[in-house]
Parts: sequence; C-alpha cells; structure tokens
Amino acid sequence: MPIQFPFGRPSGGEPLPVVALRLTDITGRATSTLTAIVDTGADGTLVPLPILRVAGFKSSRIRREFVPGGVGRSVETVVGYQVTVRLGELTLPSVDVFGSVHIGDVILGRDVLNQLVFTYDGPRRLLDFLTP
Amino acid sequence: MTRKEIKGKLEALLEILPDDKAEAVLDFAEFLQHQVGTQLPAAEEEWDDWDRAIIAAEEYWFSLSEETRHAYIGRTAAVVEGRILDADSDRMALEERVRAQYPDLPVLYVEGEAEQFKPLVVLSPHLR
Repeated sequence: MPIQFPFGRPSGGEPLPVVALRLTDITGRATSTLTAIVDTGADGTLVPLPILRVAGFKSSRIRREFVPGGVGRSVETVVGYQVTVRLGELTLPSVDVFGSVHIGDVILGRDVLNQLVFTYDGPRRLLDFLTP
Repeated sequence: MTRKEIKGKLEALLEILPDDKAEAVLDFAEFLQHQVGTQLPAAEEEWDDWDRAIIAAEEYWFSLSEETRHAYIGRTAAVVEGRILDADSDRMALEERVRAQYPDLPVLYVEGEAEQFKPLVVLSPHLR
C-alpha cells in the first residue's frame, strides 16, 4: 500500500509537494509531526534549528556549508544531527539532518529521497510513496 | 574617500556616460544593494556548549594527517577533542557502545572518508 501525502499550500502560485514526518534520535527523543517540503534540488536535509532544540536533540556530526542556489555562496555553517526519519510506516535510520537558523520549513533533500520510491502526481496534487 | 566625494564622482561619471552605460551603473548599484540586504546573521550565536565541543572534536579530527584519517575509511570514528575513542563499520553499534560508556559526553561521529565543510546546496531555498 502506498503512503499518500496531499500537496501543501501554494508557493509562487503552485501547490508544494510536502510530507508529514517525525524525527527521533537514539535516546528516544522526538519532534512533533512536521511538514517537510520534498525538494529534489536539495543535496541534504535541513531543519529549522529551533525545532531540533525543542526536541532536545544533540549534535554529533560534522558541519556543512549551506549554499542556497540563488545566493551562490554559503550563508551559514550548519551543525549536523543524526536522526531517524519516520514517514508514515517508513523508517529511515541514521539520517544526517542539519540545523539552520535561516529557514522556516523543513527541507527533505535527496539524501532521504534517493532512498525512496515515490510518484509525483501533479494533476491529483499527491505524492505516493511505495512501502517495501 | 568620503561619501560626498563618491557621490560627486558618480554624478560626474553619469553626466558623460551614454544612457546604456549609466543604466549598467544603476544595475550594479542595485546588485550591491541586494547583496547587503541578503547578508544573514551568523548561526554561531545559536550554538551551545555541546555544539562547540562537537566542533572542537571536528577540528581535532581534521587536524590529523590524511594518512591517519584514511586509516578509518569504511568505518566511523567516535571522536572528542584530542582523542579517538573508538571506531566501527557499524555506526549504530558504535554509537550505542560509546553512549553506554560515556553517556553525557559530546562525541562526534565521523567517517574516515569525510570532507570538512562540504557544501549543502539547496537550489530552491526557502530562507526566512
């Protein structure tokens, strides 16, 4: 059975593909359910830093330089966290996410998307994720 | 040069430049204005003591010779500032083992092949 996520609010007049997910860490700490933008143009996964702080997550991975495409240079050195991403029935352990003070939305990047099979159904405004 | 002098020189230049070149000056000034407007505050202010300990461990790791770091290729190393605590090809097993031994210690987990400050490019950013 695929897991379906309806597109979210429009951005620039077009509905955004989003998913609902939760993040947990090795100690069992967890975020609330978050809405994440599915972004095939993102190398990795970014989370607003306050969300990680509220969940009580602790950094444990090396830093990266956050380079927004339109800006073309690093705007921020982001600290890494190792988490499990829970997307409906799908569980992806050992995912690195990076805490940013400059973003307002969770951005689910290709580090996660490249582990998944999904259909982008634009006319129906739906993302269908296949479960193993 | 004072701002008044700069303004005077710019006005003098605009007087003699053809219209298309004068527009190019305006375009460049607007580009600079945009750059200033998109300079974002540093995230470092948000880092806590735990983050700084992880960063110190990262700096220690990358201060080691390439030969030393490459001896860990295919494995994850558990690192604190000044010391490699343990290493394993199973990152989860390593983290559980290290956490059991040092429950409250900020420990960096880094692969032998890791690069420092690797860019994370987001082609369609949603900046605040």
